[in-house]
Amino acid sequence: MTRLEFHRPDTLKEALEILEKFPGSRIVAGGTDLIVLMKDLLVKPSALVSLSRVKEFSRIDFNADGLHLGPMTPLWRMEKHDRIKGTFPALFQAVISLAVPPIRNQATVGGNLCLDTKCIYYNQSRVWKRALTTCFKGGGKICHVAPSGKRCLGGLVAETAGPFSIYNAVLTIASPRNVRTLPIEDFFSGDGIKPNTLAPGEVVAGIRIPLPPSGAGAAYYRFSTRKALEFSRVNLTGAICLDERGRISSARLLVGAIGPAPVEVRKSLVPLIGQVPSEKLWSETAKGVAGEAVRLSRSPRLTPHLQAVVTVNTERIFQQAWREATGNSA
Amino acid sequence: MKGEKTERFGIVGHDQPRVDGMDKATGRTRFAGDLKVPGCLYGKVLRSPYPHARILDIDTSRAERLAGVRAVVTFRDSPNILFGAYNSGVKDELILARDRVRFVGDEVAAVAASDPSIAQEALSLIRVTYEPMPVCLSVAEAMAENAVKIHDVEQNIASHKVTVRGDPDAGFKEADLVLEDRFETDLQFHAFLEPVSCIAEYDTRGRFHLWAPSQNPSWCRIIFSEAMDLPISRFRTVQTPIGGAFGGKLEQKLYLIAFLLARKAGKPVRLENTREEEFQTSMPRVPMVIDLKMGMRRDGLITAKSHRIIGDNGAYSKYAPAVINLGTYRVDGLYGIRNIRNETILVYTNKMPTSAYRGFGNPQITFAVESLFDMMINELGLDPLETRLKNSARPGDTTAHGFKLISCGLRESFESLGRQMDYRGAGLARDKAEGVGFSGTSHVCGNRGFFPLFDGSTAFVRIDEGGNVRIIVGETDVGQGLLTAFAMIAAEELGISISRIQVDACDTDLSAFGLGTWGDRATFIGGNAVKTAAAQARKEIIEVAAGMLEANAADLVLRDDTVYVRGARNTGIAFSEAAAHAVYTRGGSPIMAKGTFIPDSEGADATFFGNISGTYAFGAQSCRVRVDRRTGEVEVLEFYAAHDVGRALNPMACHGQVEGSIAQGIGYGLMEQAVYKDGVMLNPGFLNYGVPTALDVPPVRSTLIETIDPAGPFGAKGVAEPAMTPTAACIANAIFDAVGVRIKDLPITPEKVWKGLKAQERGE
Repeated sequence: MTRLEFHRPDTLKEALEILEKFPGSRIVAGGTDLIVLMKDLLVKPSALVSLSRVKEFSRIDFNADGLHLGPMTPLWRMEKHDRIKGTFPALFQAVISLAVPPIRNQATVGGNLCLDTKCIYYNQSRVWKRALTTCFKGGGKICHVAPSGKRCLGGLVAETAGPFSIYNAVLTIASPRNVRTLPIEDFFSGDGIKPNTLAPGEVVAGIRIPLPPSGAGAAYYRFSTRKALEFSRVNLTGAICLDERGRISSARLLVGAIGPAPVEVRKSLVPLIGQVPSEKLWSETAKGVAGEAVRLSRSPRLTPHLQAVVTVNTERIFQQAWREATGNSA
Repeated sequence: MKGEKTERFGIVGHDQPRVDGMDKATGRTRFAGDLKVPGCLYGKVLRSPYPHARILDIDTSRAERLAGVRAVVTFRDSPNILFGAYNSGVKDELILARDRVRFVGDEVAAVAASDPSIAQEALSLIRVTYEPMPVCLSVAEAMAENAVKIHDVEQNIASHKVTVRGDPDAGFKEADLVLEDRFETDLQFHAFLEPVSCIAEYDTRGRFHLWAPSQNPSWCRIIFSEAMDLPISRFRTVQTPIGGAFGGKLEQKLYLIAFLLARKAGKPVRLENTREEEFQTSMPRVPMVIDLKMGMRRDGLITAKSHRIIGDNGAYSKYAPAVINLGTYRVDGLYGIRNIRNETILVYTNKMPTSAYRGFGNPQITFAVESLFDMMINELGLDPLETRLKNSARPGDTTAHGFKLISCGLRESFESLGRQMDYRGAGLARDKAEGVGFSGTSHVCGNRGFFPLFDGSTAFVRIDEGGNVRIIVGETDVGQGLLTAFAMIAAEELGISISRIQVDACDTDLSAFGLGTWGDRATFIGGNAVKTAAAQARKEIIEVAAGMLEANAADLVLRDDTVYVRGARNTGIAFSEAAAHAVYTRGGSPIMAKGTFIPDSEGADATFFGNISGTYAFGAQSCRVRVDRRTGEVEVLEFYAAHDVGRALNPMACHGQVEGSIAQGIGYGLMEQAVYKDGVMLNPGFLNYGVPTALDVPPVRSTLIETIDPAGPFGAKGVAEPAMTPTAACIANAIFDAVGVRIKDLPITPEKVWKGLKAQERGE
């Protein structure tokens, strides 16, 4: 039986010191994913460092600058927070669609953002894996998802990744030497083996989201086999912003869970700019979205059927974002 | 019978919370995995990582040397005798693989150690040299001309049967419409919360003791005896509370491996499946490719049916031969089809063995028959409900296979749905369309086909000096509420309160021989045994009371825990007083009664003809679905179910069975799918194998049809299995009603519906 050290420091400083002192140590936030990975021997940390006693890490602050979330904020607190629900509906929708209430009681927002990629070929027990050749992530030379590919296509199933991206979140990253800020788009590495750009010893110390400008609306959608207790097979986060004349000044769409990072579709949305929203406009625009996502992600996870799901729900998402933007969300 | 229907009972027919409910809800129930035995070792099983390979060598020496390891077993420690499910006609298994492994998960060796992590480490020290062999992963591959032989049989066919009734050719000639199509069904896992788990011990007298959540404690001794090559007397099974079974907790290879380890180590050994092992080896539902042809007259009457079913046996047969034969013929009684040609072929593949799951082949064939029936109804422009009513079996019928229907509420079930479900002119939204589907179901209540010598059940009732009543039976509560049903039957019959009664789980050293719980037999057959035993006990205690009251026993009644002279209630004595008197005045002899019930059934002949069950259960379901025309997503909006339960002994338990069945049926119909790559199941866990969650199951409105079966205890029949059978077909028919797309293979994923809608757009 392997022994495991468990630390629960009271301050961030202390936590960072412990992380540095024990190479191979891991931060445990809610533990809803890490413990499963440890059971399957996919990670074998030398020590676990819990951040649950670091007080400022579970704070939710809402002020004129926007929303500040401590990384240890449990997801249930976000779903019960009326202003998060009202101001950042796409984030709220992502959170309530995630797992099941008992897991959301335990899981944290920082943990979700730092979630490792998931893959049916990798996230299996050691015993099970004897039956298949080792993939890139396990140290082998193949990706079973795309056998001709040259990289790991593990899916980033962090449901909050899309909403944080669409709301332009900025992360505070702390290390023993400095504290830096990082725009969310630079947080995702695009590498299925290690999907974020955190260096060893670094910790996500805070998440800040600016208040959306007036005229903005956003929405989130996920596709999965059942309605709960499942990672999405594909998810979409969309946003539009209307100018004072009611024309679209900006539009964004992220396709998540099909590869190691959310894929932002840009080209297909160009024709939206300057237009007056309409259902017809959405359906015209949506036609190009799935194809662009396939080209950008090069992921076989986006099957023809899921492409249709993306197309249809792009329309529905923009329609919903439009309702949000015009304050017609009820 | 009419008289009994209106008769009022104090306990039977009223909602009764489970007698074991409080213990389960408060975590007090001790499942096999909770048992602690001093000195117990922990076992682990080494399984094949290859779907098909020769074993060239097994070297256990390093594992044996590991500190803490107390026993390592391989085929050398077990008899070299092939065994199989009782009376299935196929013997193709060894306890541990000798020279060949045939699926990923095949048991090769096992270790018992003082600690589970040592046992796990020891497994990694066992060196098995394999030589991979060609692999057959589908029935088509396995039946191909040059396919590798998985067992020594032609074309990998484990079983092949043809049955003809009536005159199928004439039946098809008589038809105005003959339709033929192929339907396919997938694996389905029992997914019970409690994994298979046991403790085995080998005593100094050479007896094996097993504590395990066994559905069939007595019966499984016969298989133990065969596989271990020892007399039945050497095995004792003590049934532990069962955390879900659904056909998946009949005899297990794990128990045999535990015997080998316990004997070699000389210590008790615990073996427990991980969830992953459950998905690798738990004998899921037999997948079938069903080529079905039916003939129908213009007025909707079915004139003939023929089917050729190819079932995926997996690597070993288990109960699959019985599933594909008995299970798939059962449907013919539903709509009184007379002209029949049934062919079944069971084929080995290099996948996990398949076997029994709630419905036992019936959900597979019912999906096909009810789908094709629906297609014909649509083709002829008939009413789906009227046409089903027209064909429905009736009480008094003897079906083509010899089933005598002494009660049958199928028509009442459909009529009830017709009153509740508005199915004409379903709503049509822009992107989303709604539709309604129907399906019927019939099932046995016991089956002499398994054990021609034996059908029936025996119960003991013992009343101690405190007036506590202990009931000992050979059938098992698998979570369906049997303990409660038996307690209710006994309390009603005895005239005492239910709190006095405790029903014991089986211990083969104490209980009467019984077949256990499967085939919807336990309440119908076991309930009759309990009722008979309780009636005998009542007679005896009344006799004791008669002496105490100096009254004539014939004038006494026992009601509300009191024995009194009829009409003079205040003269009575308490039940417990009479019980104490019986013990104290008779040299300590408690009231001990025995009750036996033998149903009026017969063993089937070689063509499966015979009245195999004492009675038969019926029912019907209907659901409304909403289909997203653009993504193929199906949402089940509501389910109506009407089931002929004979008499609802415990209505809340009956409704519970129906609701649970429909949840499993929704999983089977829409979600549950085993994903394979190179013979390896990719989703052996609850995260990726999608059993429905509470959010995926709509409101179920269940109606209980009471036909008061002449043979049932208080008129009761079974409901657990028939309620699962029609659900998938019902959903498929509703999807067609909504969008005109017919999906013929399960599960009906959004992708399949979407492809169907695309084909429809293209005018295919």
